[in-house]
Amino acid sequence: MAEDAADDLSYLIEADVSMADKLATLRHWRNLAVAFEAESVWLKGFSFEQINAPELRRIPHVRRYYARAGLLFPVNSLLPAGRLPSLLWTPIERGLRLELPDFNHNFFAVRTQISPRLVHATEEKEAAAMIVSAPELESYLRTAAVVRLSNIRWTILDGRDAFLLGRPLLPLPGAVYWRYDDSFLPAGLSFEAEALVDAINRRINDKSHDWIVWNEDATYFSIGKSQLQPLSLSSFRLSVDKHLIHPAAQ
Amino acid sequence: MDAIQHTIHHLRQHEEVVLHGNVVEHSAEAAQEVKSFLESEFQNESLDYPHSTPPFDAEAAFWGAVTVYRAAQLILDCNNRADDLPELLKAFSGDVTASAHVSADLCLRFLPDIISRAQSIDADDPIIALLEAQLTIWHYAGIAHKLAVDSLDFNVISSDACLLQMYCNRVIEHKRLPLAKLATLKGNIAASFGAYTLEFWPDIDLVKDNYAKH
Repeated sequence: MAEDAADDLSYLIEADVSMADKLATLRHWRNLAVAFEAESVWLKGFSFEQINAPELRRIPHVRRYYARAGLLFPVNSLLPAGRLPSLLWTPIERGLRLELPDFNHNFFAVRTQISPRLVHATEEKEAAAMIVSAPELESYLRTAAVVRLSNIRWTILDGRDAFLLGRPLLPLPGAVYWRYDDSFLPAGLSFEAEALVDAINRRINDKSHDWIVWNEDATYFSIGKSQLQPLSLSSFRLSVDKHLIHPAAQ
Repeated sequence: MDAIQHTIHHLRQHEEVVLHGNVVEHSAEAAQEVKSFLESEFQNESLDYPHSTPPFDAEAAFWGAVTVYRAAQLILDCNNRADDLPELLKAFSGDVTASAHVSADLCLRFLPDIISRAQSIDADDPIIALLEAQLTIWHYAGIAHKLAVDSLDFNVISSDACLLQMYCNRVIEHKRLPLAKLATLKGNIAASFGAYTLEFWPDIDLVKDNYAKH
């Protein structure tokens, strides 16, 4: 059987050892491996996309090769330039170490704080919870089938609104939220700095006892997870009586 | 307290039948107490009833309780009974209304389990046919029991919005496909699911064509 020519190719680059710092910008490509020779540094394991990627092309003085059958060809050339060097390869994360800058005694921005902000999201997320007004919910519950309520748990907010959690959501007008771990964010918005979500969660919901519901202005309120009850007409009627509000009278 | 009081209280609170001696009859005070107990049970349950709840029918509720009580007694004690079986398990004397359906259901809903118990003891027991005949009339309580769908009368059921919705809820709960296919119910059942039919009841895909028509 004929060999698959495309499959057989592996891409390498060679650069002077002095360029090693510049090559460290490729560390996030975890598939790469690095090796050092006396004068030069080699990287291997590139995919076709990576060998042509702008991140690589903008590093100067880099010689790009592809290897086939033990021979080394410059990219876009059919003539071999030499033999594949036999070197000791290490993963790029260990081979090209990051150097942290020295401690800066004149840096005074340590106490600077970042406020969480919500921005318009590009990804579509599935709605997981909603907030509806109590009168709307009551008029729906009065005619609803039990099966539609079976997956939903709920609680009262401020005596006026109801927070509903579970899918499928009820066909009611109201604010819709999607879920990110223990947080519920308004549909269409997401955190500006997603890397901070864990830190924020540790700060405001360390034991994961609460659901955090974010408003559009990046303020939040929390709901104890144990406060949610299975939704049913009797649950609604008993809770509403207990809170001394009557939706019909509003 | 009479034996029937103990049994009915225990039945409603723990969903178990516990019989205290072999007493088929009951006193007038016991009847009164059971009725008021069932009424308070009905008030609690009706918090969960959709639309407007039909009024409580004490006679129907009590008749349902007596039927379940005697059925349990008679199944256990099959030696002592003879010709008075139809006499002990009389049909309800009042009208079968929506009120009567939901009131009698307080206890009658346990009858399907009692019948299947009777079947496992003695499949030829004449009491089974008697009880099934009752369930055919009170088929809201008998949804869990696989009754012949053709013999059921839906006039009363479909006349009351509350009862109709609860009937559909129970058909969905027990996944009774033959009932869900009925013209009287299928529109309501499809509406109950909204856009999520396949999510809640994947098998109903079998009758997809039926659903497209309504």
